[in-house]
Amino acid sequence: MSVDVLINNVTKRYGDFTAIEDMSFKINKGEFFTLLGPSGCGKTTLLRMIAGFNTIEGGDILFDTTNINKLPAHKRDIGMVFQNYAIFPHLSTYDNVAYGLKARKVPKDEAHKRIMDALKVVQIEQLKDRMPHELSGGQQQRVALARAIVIEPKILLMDEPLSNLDAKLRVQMRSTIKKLQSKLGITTIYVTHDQEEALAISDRIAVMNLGKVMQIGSPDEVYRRPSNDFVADFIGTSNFLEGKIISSENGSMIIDVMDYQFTVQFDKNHQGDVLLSVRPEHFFFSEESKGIKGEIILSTFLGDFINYEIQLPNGDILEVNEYTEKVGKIRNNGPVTLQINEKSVSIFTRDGKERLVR
Amino acid sequence: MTRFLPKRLDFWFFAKIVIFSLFGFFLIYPFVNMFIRGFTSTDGTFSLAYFQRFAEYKYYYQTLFRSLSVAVSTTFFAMLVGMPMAYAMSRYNLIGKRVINIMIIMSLMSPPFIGAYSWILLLGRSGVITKFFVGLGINMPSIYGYLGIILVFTLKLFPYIYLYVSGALGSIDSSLEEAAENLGSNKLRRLMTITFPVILPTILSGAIMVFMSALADFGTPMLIGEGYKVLPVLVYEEYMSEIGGNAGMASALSMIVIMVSMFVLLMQKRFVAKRKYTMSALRPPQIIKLRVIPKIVLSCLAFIVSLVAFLPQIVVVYTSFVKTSGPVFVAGYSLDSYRTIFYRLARNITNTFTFSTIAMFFIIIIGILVAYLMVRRPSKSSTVLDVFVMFPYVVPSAIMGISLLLAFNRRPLLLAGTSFIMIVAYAIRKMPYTVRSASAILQQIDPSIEDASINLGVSPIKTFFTVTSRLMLPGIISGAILSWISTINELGSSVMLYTGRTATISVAIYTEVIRNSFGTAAALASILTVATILSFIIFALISKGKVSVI
Ligand SMILES: Nc1ncnc2c1ncn2[C@@H]1O[C@H](COP(=O)(O)OP(=O)(O)O)[C@@H](O)[C@H]1O
Ligand SMILES: [Mg+2]
Repeated sequence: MSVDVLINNVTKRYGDFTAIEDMSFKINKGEFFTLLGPSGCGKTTLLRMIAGFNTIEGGDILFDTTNINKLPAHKRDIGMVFQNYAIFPHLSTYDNVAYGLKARKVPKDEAHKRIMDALKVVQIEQLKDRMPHELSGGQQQRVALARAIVIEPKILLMDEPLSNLDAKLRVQMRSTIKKLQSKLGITTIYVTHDQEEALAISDRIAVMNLGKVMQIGSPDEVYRRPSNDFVADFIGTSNFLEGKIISSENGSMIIDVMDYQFTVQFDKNHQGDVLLSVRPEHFFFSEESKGIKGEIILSTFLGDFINYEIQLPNGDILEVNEYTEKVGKIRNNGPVTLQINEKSVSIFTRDGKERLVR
Repeated sequence: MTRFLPKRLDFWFFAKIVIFSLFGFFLIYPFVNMFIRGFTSTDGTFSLAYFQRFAEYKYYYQTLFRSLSVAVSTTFFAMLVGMPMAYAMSRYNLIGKRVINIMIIMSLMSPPFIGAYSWILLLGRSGVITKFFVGLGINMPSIYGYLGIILVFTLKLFPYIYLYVSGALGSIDSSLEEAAENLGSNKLRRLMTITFPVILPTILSGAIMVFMSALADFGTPMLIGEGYKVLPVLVYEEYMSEIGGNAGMASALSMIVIMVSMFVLLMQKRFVAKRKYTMSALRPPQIIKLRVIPKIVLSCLAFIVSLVAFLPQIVVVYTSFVKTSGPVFVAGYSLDSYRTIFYRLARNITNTFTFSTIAMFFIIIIGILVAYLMVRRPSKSSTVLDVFVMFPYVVPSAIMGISLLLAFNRRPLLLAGTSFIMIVAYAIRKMPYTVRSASAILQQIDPSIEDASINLGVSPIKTFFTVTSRLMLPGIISGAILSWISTINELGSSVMLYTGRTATISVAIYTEVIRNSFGTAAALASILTVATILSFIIFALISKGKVSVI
């Protein structure tokens, strides 16, 4: 039942403003695919184009091999979960879930069975006769989910479905959704601006900014191998440092950062200035004199690790994490020397647009 | 060619075209036509003669000054009564608040000019109270003329001020006033420097409603004004005497009334837009507990004011059961007045309810569509539509009646004298209540609920009819009931448009009063009053006590 979704050179304009610019990618059958990006980057716009609520100004959207550009929204056979649930306030839980089956003229007996199954899957069968105003946010979310899956859609779309829940419930619903999706195997497109949520839930993530895709990859890839400074900055925490290529030959180059020099393997040949992005856990404190000189100005104990703010001579602040297990005690404020784990560092061209290392 | 068509050639596009055509035909065309006639002399050439005549003769121009004077005085007195009432009712623990509140709302909803009629029965030349005082050797000042008009208008219209101001006082967050107190302001200072300025825009909106209603009403001054002729009465008389002529003078006078209303409304818009404080009281203001004596005194005062406002309706119902002999009431009670009206005026009663029901049908259908277009499809044309729909709100209904008559009194557009034209007048004139209430509720409905329905496989248009309009229903019904109440009580356009066959209750009351047939007039007015009260109760039940008639 599930389908591939092809986005081919898709463009969306609101007057002069281009909300989605010439976007192309493919979402695979049964995949949990997330659109991640800051607010206003065009995630909802793209999702609503797939759902059929927005017109498509350029390009094509295909489900498997069928072009759906002109197919009206109510004929697309897509399940959708809305940010504010959009439960019909005048219908009971049961009738909310029944709504899509009635539209499809599913015979009563079969409909009843499917509705009860769907309610069971999301664990709210005991709430079937409640009216929406008698349900909590989390329960409404489950109704919305049941209503979307009961029609056995080709694709499931979710627009920030967890953003109205409190933190604890959010984590709980996240795993409910993830398990449900992998059980049903429905191609799912999920929208969020929360990078942690995206990393936790997705098979693949498209990181978006200003109407363009910045990178597509698995959570591991986008976290460890960001393809530009935007992704590095948006996902997780990154320290940005300016550096210079001193020499490059035979696929390895020597980088100089504030007189600290180290060697990395590179992918693309490049000369001159570069931008480095280093995760807090990819620094380590060194007893050698070689390294970046700085001064601890604040240490924060966070349980399994300790977070240090380190001020550099030029005034910049670096964030460095050190596992508690590894050292056992919190370092005192004062001068330190930092080295970089060169296998994990991301190196970009100076403008941050292109990744130079693997 | 296709370039000129909108992207979406859907149901809403056609709905818009149909609604625009209807308003164009029944509202814009008549007013443009009237406008042109105001500037056209009898030989068909452009002329300012009517306006010159207006400016030259005292007979004409003094009516404008009188109208303005009546409207200003009424507004002043309505504020004088309405604001303290609102303050006392919303800030103190008065006794019998519900009853007082209902009496005030009812007097606002009462049939037009029964106020004038009742006060004539009480204070007129042979009024009950007048006779009583004459018996004591005291001569009462005449109720006819300026004083009477102001009295009746004030009692009928102060509820606007009362309702607007109570609403605003209830939504001031108490921390605002507490802060002032905390900063060392005493009570009066606080009232003048914090409370009053904050609710000023609301007071102004209420005042505008009073002003416009006082300016537009023509039934009351017609009955009680006698020699004191105000502008709407002049328009009516000019029109009546010009029938067969080109009605140029009536048109010119109508333009003047409309221009005054528009001017006032624009001023208010400018003023209010500049200083609008949106507030939602997190902590509504506390009710001050008065000690026993002040509480009783204040409650009595409030009760008396609201009772006096409500009095006309009591008088009407009471006198409908009093025996009459020709034009005079005699001792004893009977149902004769009712017998007479059911025998002689049954047609007026059925007309009122048939026309209003049919008008209601159109108001609901068009009202829902207009509300949807305005809220969900905002565009330039939707804004224009909004203006069209709300325009009749500022046009005195008698003038609207005249504009329709002038536009449709000739072949091939001969509609004058038909029931249809009366229904059209009602539908257009009373539409704003429903549109406002329907758009208010639609704004509360999350658009993604409609998306959800479409997404689940129900077409947009079916979604609109099964989900959206279903969810809009409470707002539509309460708006429609207000439209309905206002329609059954409508006088101005009815008087202009009726013929023998299409006369309504309010027309009959009017003609019966003119013929001094007070008993039958009272019986007819009682029917309207009861119908109004019943409708209002339904309205209150549907809006679950959250009554807002303004
Ligand atoms: N109907 C619209 N008209 C004009 N601009 C819009 C409309 N909808 C969205 N936009 C603009 O398009 C951009 C992307 O919006 P959206 O897709 O809602 O962002 P996201 O869901 O990623 O937060 C924003 O700049 C927004 O202002
Ligand atoms: Mg969004």
